[in-house]
Amino acid sequence: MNRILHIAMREFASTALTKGFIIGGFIVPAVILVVMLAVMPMLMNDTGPAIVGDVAVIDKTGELSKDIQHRLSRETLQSKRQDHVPPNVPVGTAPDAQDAAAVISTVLDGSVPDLTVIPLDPDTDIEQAKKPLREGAADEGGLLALAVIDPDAVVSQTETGVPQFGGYQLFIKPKLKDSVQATIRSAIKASIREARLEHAGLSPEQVAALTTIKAGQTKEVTEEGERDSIDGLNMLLPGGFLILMMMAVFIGGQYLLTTTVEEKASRVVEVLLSAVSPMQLMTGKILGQLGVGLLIMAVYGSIGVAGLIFATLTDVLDPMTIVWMVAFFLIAYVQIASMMAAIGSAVNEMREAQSLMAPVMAVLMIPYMLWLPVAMNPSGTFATVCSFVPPVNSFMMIVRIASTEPPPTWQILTSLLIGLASTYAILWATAKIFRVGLLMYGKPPNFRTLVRWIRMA
Amino acid sequence: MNDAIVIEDIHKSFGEKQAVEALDLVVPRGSLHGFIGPNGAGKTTTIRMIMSIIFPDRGELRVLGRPSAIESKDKIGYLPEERGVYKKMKVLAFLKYMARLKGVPANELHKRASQWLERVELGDVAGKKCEELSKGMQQKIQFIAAVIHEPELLILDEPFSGLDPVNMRLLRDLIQELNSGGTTIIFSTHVMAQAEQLCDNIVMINNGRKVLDDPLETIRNRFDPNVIVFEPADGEVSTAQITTLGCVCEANKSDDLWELTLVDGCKPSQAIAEITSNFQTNRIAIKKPSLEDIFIKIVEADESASISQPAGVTA
Repeated sequence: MNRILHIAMREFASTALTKGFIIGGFIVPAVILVVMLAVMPMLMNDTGPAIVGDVAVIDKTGELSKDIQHRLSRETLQSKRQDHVPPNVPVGTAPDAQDAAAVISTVLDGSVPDLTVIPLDPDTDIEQAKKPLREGAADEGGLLALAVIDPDAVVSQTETGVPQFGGYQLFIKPKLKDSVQATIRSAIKASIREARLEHAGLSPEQVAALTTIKAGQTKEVTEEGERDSIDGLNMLLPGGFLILMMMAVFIGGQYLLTTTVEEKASRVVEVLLSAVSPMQLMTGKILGQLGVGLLIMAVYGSIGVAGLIFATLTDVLDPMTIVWMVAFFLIAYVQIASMMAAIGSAVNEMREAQSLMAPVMAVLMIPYMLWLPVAMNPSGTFATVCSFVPPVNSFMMIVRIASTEPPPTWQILTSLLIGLASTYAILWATAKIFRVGLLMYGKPPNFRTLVRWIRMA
Repeated sequence: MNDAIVIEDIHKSFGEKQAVEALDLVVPRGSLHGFIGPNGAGKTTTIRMIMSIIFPDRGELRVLGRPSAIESKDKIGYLPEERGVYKKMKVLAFLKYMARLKGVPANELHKRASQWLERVELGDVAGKKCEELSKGMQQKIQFIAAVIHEPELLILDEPFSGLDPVNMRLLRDLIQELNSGGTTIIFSTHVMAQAEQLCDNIVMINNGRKVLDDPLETIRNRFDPNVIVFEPADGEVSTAQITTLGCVCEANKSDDLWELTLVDGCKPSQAIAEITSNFQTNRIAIKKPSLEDIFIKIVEADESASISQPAGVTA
């Protein structure tokens, strides 16, 4: 046992305490996270000079030009940008997609356009007014857009029944930035909307009061108590658990393959076999890389849990889910790792391992392909069957456990037992391949050879 | 029990190939046994069975009084033919790791590893990575890894391959020193001169079977010498003059020395008498067969026997 621990410690140290692992496993992802959260928005904000130009408005209602002028002034746009909330949308009135688009574009785009609104006479010939739009490029200034507002845009012409309103038409210079277009449209629409409300004798505040319905956070009522329900998270959580588990299993397994091939290629393996048995060597190596897998899972899992704590969503995380995940991780890891060790022992160099890796990769890819249907209907027959079929059952069961409809305990325990039994079978076969493969040099084996080794050992 | 290794009738085959066949062997404690044989004769397979790295298909095997080497791995040192080091590991760390696996107490690891490095004149490389060392240096590190736990039985598979003459001598001295300290040593080689220089006993394997197992002197005496070295006082002796003698079938001259091969059935004493009565002689002696001569003789005899009796035909 002592020797197994020494091998495990060396295996762990030679993998996890290397610059490559620390940089690749932790520093690079941390840098990417920082870049995504901090640097990228800064870079995206800095998008070069602001668009400068004119917006001509033919306001046939005769009452909107000034308001539009105000809404498109640089000061208003800047304050809107700082608040990240469109001040021109009355609270409670449902902002449509374009309003949201305008806000998002402005936030992401960064540069606030410097627009001068030129009110034109309502009788202006539209074709004449459009002419300057054909001259020059959008970033060269001049007339950027022409808005024509219908005479009945604010006051309905129909006397009875449901009021029928006119609207507006926007003509723009080719290749005018989407964000600038959205800003202009948003201002015109907000102006029309507010004018309509005023004519109807309503203030924006009244509308807000009428249309706002306060609703508390939806709670899931469970046996243990109540917890917040968040749409989408119900799907994301099982996916998160699956990815975390797959990542830890795959990285640990991959390192095990690499170190085994290295030991064989550098001919150190027989030196080791003079001190320990092949089974002790394989067990030590699997345990060492298990430490690596657990470290990865702990670090990335903690980041996930920290995220949930930050978003005050810890209620959605059942501690038992983590316990089950560790249990199923151990099963999945030992299965995949022993296969990787067997492959590593059978080949002479990494290149030869590729063809034998295909079935192991398939085991890892199947859960990735199946997680969505299983997470969408975690109690369905398909999901239930998947969680009982080794060697993917561990992955599928954890998706079901983390889902909104956790399976009954008997199913979890059955899947666990199936996992343990299949782990025993896989270990039995892979240990035989490992024992024979370690001392075999020369022609790389195919699957028939591996089966022969299992029979031979 | 006084024997370090007792092998009784072990067999091992890999598929169709019979690697070891009906092998019996006894290695007494404290002896220095040479394991010789051509490439592919079954030496490494036998050694791996002794080490319990692979297991015989049938037959009995006892190592240091136990039925398996696994039970006494801490008392056995092994330098395999296929050997290497962890390239990225530092030399001292590698030796300490290997010693730890072989049961050396933690408080002695550093001391023993450093002492051995000094002993093989590699004290200055302790902090270097193994990959930075030359092949010969790595060989010496591997040798230390095999002996650092002070084994009772040391098995060395081709220990001299890849070493320059200086390091070969250093290693040879160390082997002799360990043996005189009581360590039982088996080493395999196909370089006969090394076996001749080092061993008390020679075991020769060919085609998976043991064909020799005796002290070196006994082997030499058993193989009838049929070559006589002769230096005539009168330098003007011709080949024709010599081959007219009834006991000589072949004569070769190198410088002033003749090597005379005797006809079958002719005793060396008879031949010496015949030669000295016909020629004035400065020097005449029986040339003892070298291990290499014996080796080649046995291998060739084995090959011609297997040609005259094709596989599948039984006598």
